[in-house]
Amino acid sequence: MAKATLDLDKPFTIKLDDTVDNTTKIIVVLMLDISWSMKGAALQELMDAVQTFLEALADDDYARYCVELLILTFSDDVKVIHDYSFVDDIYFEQNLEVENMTNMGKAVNFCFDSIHSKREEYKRDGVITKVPLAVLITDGEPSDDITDAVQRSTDLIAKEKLKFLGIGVGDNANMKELKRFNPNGKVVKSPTHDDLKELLVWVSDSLSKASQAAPGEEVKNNAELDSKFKLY
Amino acid sequence: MENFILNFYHYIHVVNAYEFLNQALGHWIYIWILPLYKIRTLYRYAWWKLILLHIVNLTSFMLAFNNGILASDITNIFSIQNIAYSSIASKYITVLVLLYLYTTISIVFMYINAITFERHELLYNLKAIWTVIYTLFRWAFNLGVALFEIFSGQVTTGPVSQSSTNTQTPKKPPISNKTIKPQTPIAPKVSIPKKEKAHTPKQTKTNLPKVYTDKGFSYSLGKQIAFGGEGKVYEISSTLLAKIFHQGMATNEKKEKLLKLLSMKKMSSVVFPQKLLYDSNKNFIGYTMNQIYNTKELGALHIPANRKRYYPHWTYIDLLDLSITIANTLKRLHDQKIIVADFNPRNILVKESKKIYFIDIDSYQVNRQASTVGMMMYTRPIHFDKSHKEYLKNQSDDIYALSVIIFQNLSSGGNPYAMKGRTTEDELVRRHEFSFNVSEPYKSNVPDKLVDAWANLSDSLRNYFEEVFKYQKPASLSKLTKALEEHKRNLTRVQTKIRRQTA
Repeated sequence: MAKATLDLDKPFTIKLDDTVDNTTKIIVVLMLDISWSMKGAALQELMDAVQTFLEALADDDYARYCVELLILTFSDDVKVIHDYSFVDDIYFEQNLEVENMTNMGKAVNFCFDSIHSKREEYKRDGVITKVPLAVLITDGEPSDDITDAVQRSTDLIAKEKLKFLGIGVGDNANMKELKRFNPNGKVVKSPTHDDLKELLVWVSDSLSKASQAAPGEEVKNNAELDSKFKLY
Repeated sequence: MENFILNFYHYIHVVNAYEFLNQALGHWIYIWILPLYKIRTLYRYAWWKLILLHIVNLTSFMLAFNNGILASDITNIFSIQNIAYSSIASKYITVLVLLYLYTTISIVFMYINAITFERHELLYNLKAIWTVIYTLFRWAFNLGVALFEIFSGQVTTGPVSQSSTNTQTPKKPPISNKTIKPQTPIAPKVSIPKKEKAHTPKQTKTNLPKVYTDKGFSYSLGKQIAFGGEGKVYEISSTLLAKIFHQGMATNEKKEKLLKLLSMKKMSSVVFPQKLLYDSNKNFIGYTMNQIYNTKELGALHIPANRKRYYPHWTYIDLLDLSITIANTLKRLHDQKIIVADFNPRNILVKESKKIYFIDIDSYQVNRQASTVGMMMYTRPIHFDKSHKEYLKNQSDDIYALSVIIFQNLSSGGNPYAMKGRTTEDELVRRHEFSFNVSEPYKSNVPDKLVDAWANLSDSLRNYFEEVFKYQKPASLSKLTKALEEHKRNLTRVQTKIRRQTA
C-alpha cells in the first residue's frame, strides 16, 4: 500500500480542481408550443417568459449549476433549440417562428427519449440525478395521437422516474388532454402568456429548492404559490 | 515678567484657537466655546445676549434641518415605522429629534472645551447633565410615540397575522428584488404581474405586524428573508432577525427547548436564540437571533463553480480546515449535551474556512424530545424505516451526518454511495452500498469523477469512511478529527517540500 501522502513523485493536487463537480443534477426539459395560434404577441410573451425563467435559474447558487436544461419547440416538427446544458451556457435567441400543427404526442415522446438517453449517459458516468422534470407549455390541443405518449408518461410517473408539469395557456388550451399525461398531479392554467413569467419563476424556485434538498426531504416552497400549484 | 509671558502664551494659544475655530467652523461653534471659557469675564453682565444667541442659533439649526432632512427621513432613521408623516405626533417627534441633535452636539463641544482647557470639574458635571438630558429625551420620545398611537387608534396592534396560515389575509409578504444573503434563494427576482398587484392592498407601514418580548418590548417585523419548513425568518433590524413559527409549530416543547438553549453557554460559531417572542396575546410564536452577513451556505460551496466564484483562493488545505472547524464545533456542542439532530450542509454558513456558523438551532435536540425533522441522506441507514419523531438521536447519529458532510466537502459534493450504473439519488441512499476501495482506490466500481477525490484522502481517512459507510459502525468524532488533522499536516509538509524543490 503506497503511502500517497508523502510520495513526492505523485504529489497531491493541493490546488483544487474546479472542473470536477460531483453534486446531484436535475434533468429539466422545456417543451414550447409554437403552433399557428401563437402568432403575434403571444409568441413574444412566451419567449420573454422563457428568458425570465433562465434568468431566475441563473440567479440561484444551486439551480445555476445543478439544472441541466433542454429546450425544444414543437409544432409541425420537434426542434431542439438548446441541447442539454447548464443555464450559464444557454444563450436564448428569441427567434422562434410559428408553424401550423400542434404535434404534442411527438414532442412528448421525443422528450422521454432524450431524457432516457441522458439518464443512460449519466448512469455510465455515475452522475447522480434527481427525478427529471418535463414542462409542457401549450395553448391549444394536440393535433396528433397522444395515447402512446400518455402511456409512457403515466408509467414513468408511477415508477417515480419523472415529474410532469403541464401548463395550459389561455382559454383554448385543452386541459383535459393535458391532464392525461399526469392524472394524479396538477395541471396549471395560466390566463395569458404574460402570466407565464410568474409561473416559471415559481418553477425555478421549486428547482432551486429541489437541487438543495437531500433525498427523503419534502420540498417546501413559497406557501402561497405552492397552494396554487404543486410540483415537487 | 513671568506673569506677562504666561499671559502672552495664553493669548497666542487661545486667541489663535478661537480664530481658527471661528473661521473653520463658524459662528455657531464660537458661541459655545467662548462663553464657557470666558463666561465670567466677557459675558458676566450680558447673559441675556448668550440666551438670545442660542435662540437664534437653534432656530437656524431647525430651519436648516427642516430644509435638508424631511421629517420622514428622521422617523425612518430612528425606525419609527408606525408614524404617519403628516400627523402632529410626527412633527413633535421631528422637533424632538432636532432638539436632541442640537443638545448632543452642544454637549460634545462642551466636552471638547472642558478637555482642551483642562476643566475637570466640568467633565464630571457634563456626565451627569448628559445622563439627565438623555433620560428626559427618552421619556419625551416615548411620550410622542404613545400620543401618536392614542390619536391614531393604534394602541393595540393585532396579533401577527403572517404566522397564521388558516386565516388567509389578502396581504402578500414583501417581495424583494435583490438578495443580499445566500440563504434567500426563494425570493422571486421578478416582480409580480401588474394585474395581481392591483388586487392586493398596499402594505402600508402601519400594517407591519408587531411582536413582543417577555418584558413587553415590541419589534416590528421587516421583510421576510427566508421560508422554511417550520417557520419564516424576518428582518427586525440590521443586526437582528426573528424566526416566527408556522401556525401549530410553536409548541410548548419548542418553547421549553428554546428556554433551555437560552440558559446554555453561548458559542460564537453557533447562532443561538437571543430572546423569545410573543404575539399581543402573550402566545409564544418565535424567537430573535443575530443576523450574519457575507456568508455562503456550505451546500452551495460543494458545487466547485460556486467555490471558485466566492473563494477563489481556497486550496485543498482550506477544505480540510473547513472540515476540521465543523467537526470541532460539533464537538463543543456535544460537550454541552446538545445533539444537532438535523445536521446538513444547508444549516452551516461559511464565512471563511476557519469561521463558520451553525444555524437553525431550534431543530436541535437538547432534552428528551425527539427532533421532528431530518434528511435521509444525513440519517444513519439503521433509522431509515423510522419516522424522525419516533426516536431520539444520539451523538453517533450526528457524527454519521458529519461524516457525510465531510465526505462531500472533500469530494466536491460526492455521494458516499455513488457507483457506476446508478444515477438515482434516492435509490443510492436507500440501498447504501459502499463501493470505494480503501487499499487500491482506482480498482473499484466508483465513478471516474469521484475516484480522484477518494484517492486524495489519506489512509486513515479512507479507513474511517469505510468503517462508517460500509460497516455502519458508530463513528468516533475524535478519530475523524485526528485523521483530518494528520492529513492536513502531511499535506502541508508535502507542500513545503515541493516549494523547496521548485525553489
